[in-house]
Amino acid sequence: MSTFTDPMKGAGVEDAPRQRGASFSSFELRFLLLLSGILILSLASSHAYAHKVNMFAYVEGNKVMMEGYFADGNKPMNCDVIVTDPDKNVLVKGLTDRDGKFSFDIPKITDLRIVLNAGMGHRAEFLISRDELSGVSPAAASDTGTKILESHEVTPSMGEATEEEAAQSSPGSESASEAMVRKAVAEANLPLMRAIEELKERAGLENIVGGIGFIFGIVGILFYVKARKMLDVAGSRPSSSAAVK
Amino acid sequence: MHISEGVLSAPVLITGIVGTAVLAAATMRKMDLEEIPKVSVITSVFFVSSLIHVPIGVTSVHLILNGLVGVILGWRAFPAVLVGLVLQAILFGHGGVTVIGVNSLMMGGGALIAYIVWKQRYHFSFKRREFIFGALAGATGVGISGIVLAVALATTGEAFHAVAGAVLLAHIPIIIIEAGVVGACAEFLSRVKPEILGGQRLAPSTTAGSDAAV
Repeated sequence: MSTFTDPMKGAGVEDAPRQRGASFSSFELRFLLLLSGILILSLASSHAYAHKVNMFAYVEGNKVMMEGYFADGNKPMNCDVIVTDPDKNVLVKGLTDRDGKFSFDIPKITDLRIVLNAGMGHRAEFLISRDELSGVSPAAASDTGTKILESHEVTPSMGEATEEEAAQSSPGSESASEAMVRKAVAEANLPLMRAIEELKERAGLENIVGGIGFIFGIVGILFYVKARKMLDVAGSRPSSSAAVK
Repeated sequence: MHISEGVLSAPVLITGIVGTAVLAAATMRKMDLEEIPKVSVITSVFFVSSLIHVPIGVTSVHLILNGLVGVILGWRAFPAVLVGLVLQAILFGHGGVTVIGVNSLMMGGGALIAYIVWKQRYHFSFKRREFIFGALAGATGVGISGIVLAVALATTGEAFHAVAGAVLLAHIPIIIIEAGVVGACAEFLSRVKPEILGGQRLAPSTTAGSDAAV
């Protein structure tokens, strides 16, 4: 490395007097030094800069687990979580823990809107639809917006004869193993869900290039409008002159 | 720096949209044909700069550069910031469509104040004047945006001075970095291509423009 940089330095020093703008090349050098200094400074600084906050949530047993994270991987600690139903009634309120996580018992079989407020204007929303919750207790799904407890009261009267139906609706051994399977599947899916959420939020190169394309597109439109105006003033717009002929 | 959707109340959002519309209309008036490419390039720089996160240990930072936009584009900084923010909101969900007004006032306002600071350099003459005023403008751009952010959040019921303190504290490193970057850019450009900078005192613009083109 040093054998590479040293000749470069030597060349720079020799070149400088030959050029007219000797002060300029030294200025350039200082500029580069400054830039690298800024880079080092920025690498040394470890202060968290507020970023876009994201969250996702999933159903596990009778609980909803939620997890928030900032775009750079930091966790929103002690942040407000508010869960509301579609009528904007507040069902659950709480704070995230050190890992940015929060969990709560399902208060109601309905669309749950979970809002995470990470302060400084950063806020994320996640919607858990009724369909996801309906798996919690199959009987509850048929009754819109009823509580789990209520739906359990309803089922015995409906499930009349066969053993199969009774096993499904009552909290017997079958439903317990079902719950375990559901929990295991939810846990197995967790990394996938997280990866999908992160993928959705990532600022990909395609989007950056696309955004620059948009800007140049706007420039094109502006030029088009300006050019039409200029040609109108000059009275030599090709289309109008063609029409006269 | 941006405010997410759903944080602010409707009156604040409407104020932001109206304010942005007025400022955008005022700052876009009589834009010359030659200005358009310059504005678009700087818009691109602004748009991209806040998407490139430099990882630092467990966290990361990104440049905001609204001060630099002000220094280079002058009053045209506002439409540039507006376009950049609209694209960030649409493509990356930074902020959101309803908060574009408030976010534009926040970032674009910082850019305009940065330009006003940058223009004051003619009242002084000392060595490295361009660097000092560029750095001041860069710091001002982020600082003003932080204050506007705190004002907007104060309307949600949070105590203004507490929010302002937290916001400015969180942005101290970015203010310092930003000051260095904008100062260096301003000094560099004033040496190699001064006519690109905003508020440059030159001979009548037509002759200066043609000279620059050659």
